[in-house]
Amino acid sequence: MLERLPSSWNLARLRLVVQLFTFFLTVWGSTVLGYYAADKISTALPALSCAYDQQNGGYCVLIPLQHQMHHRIGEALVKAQQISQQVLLPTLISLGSFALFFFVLGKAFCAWVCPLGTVQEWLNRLGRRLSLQQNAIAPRATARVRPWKWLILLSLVFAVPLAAGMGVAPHSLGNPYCDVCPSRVVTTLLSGNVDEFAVNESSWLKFALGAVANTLFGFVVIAALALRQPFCRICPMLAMNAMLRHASLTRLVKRQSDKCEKCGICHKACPMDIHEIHTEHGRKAFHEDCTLCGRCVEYCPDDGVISIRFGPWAVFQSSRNYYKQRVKNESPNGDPKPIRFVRKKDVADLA
Amino acid sequence: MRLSHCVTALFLGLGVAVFSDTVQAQEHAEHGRARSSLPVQWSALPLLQSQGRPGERGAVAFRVAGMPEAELRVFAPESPGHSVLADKQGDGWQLAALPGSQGGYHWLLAERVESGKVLRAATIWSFPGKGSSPQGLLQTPLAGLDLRPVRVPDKGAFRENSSWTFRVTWEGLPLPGQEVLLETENGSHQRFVSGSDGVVKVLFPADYSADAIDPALGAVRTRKAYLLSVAHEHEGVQHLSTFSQFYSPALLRERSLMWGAVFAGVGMLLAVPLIRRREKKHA
Repeated sequence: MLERLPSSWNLARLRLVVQLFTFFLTVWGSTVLGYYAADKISTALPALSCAYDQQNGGYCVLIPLQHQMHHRIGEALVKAQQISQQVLLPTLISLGSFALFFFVLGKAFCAWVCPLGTVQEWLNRLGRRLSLQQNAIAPRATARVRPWKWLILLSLVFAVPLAAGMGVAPHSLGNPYCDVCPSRVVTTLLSGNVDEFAVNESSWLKFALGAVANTLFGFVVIAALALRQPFCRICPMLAMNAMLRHASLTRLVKRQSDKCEKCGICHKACPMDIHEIHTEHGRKAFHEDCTLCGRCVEYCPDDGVISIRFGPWAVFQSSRNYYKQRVKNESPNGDPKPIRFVRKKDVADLA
Repeated sequence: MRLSHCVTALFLGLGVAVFSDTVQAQEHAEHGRARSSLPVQWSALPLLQSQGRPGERGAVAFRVAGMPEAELRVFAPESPGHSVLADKQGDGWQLAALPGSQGGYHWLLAERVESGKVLRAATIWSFPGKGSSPQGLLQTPLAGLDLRPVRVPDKGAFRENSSWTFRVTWEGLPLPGQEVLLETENGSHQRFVSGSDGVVKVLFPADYSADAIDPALGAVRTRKAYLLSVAHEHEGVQHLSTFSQFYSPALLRERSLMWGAVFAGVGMLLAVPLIRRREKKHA
């Protein structure tokens, strides 16, 4: 379907337009949608749209999840209440809202909606324009990085808030992931609020959490100049999205092709350094780290090998002609091609 | 020192901080418990306030001071023009979200009519539940003298050093040039005047002393009451309307921008080894 775009357009440009729109929505969207929680798009978005940003148009599912682990499930376990509507239903509603969004758009929330993902991508573009040497994570090293997102999800989003609700952990650890999330700092700074950038000094624990958050924020801002999507690789939302990715209508599909073995351009194009997109096909090619940015589809030089599908329909699939046009402006690894200036006389001679 | 060592040290430090805190099972009933904000003595004007804490489940107690034998009406966000008369129990009321409402902000109005006087004390309270937007409630002034905020904090609080706008209306129309008095439980008194559109911009004073901040609650949840009042005479009848709510200390009272910048700088420095200029290829 997307091949029918005008010739000056490509998937990357379309994604940039969508990112601009969703970035405005997730950081300043309340100016249009309304200020109150009831006005927002959702309070269970599968993207790091931070609730601490009072001007956002919808916020992330991780904050209500932590809250429910802490205040509903944790407390209920301590009080030995029967599992009832008051305990399970709010959690199910949050998860259900998240699942509904995710069922339709799937992992596209990462590459098309998440404001932190967008900021990292734009910083990386800046780094490339500044001719900074780009880093990539080698296939063997990815095995050490990937487990971190699961660890963060299980511990900071689920286990620690649950423990806080049960009284095993300090109450101030009620939403520990939010306390260290760089999106909280980034989006609140963008909306003109410095409160979340300041570190809480009221206790050693809060100070330590704030120190981690700001250190992570500073690291991500600089690292993004020379490494694509540094925080996304350990993001717990990526892990949550990964759990349901095969259930979503929107997904990545790669069919087996003999030409893949000696190619590997898709791996170079992938901002998450997913080598499986090159070496695997079928379900294994749609990896847990995939953010559905579509770059592998754009840079696959063969027709129909990789595609993004919505249900049974191929929304966008690889094409040799598209690839030829795409590489004129940007290399698979993201480096912009220099703009060529050609004199009219030379153009006429070429013709 | 390798990056992995730094990360390990950071997590170890975090672990020490966690266990140096009180790890014993905390009385969860302390969460959000407000210190005394009972409607007594700090203002001579009618004051309607809750004795509950934000997010409290079940019925919440409300009392009004300075206005004996008042009636209390409750307005839900789903039906801002329709009210329900609350049943008084003892010297106050026990209230929950109105039936059919999904919770959220409700407008509460205590009223007493005497000969030559109409007294009103209002507040806004968020009951548990997402609820509908309070926009309708805040944009639907009642007949008579009405004072209500243009906007209320969503998942936040009124805070010192922050500006919030309130609208004064008479019979549903803006009342310009009206003096609005602000009193706070911390002892501040300020005067404001409504503009041509009846709107008054109130800058909450930075009047929290260090002692006033509850160490258990911190700046996030410590709260004291404030009262806005406006008076108007019409055909020999004195109308007095008040609005009371809570305001909290500025978050920056217990936060440090300097440390925020220091740790952001540390993070940036840790990433510097990743930054290298691309080597130019020579012909």
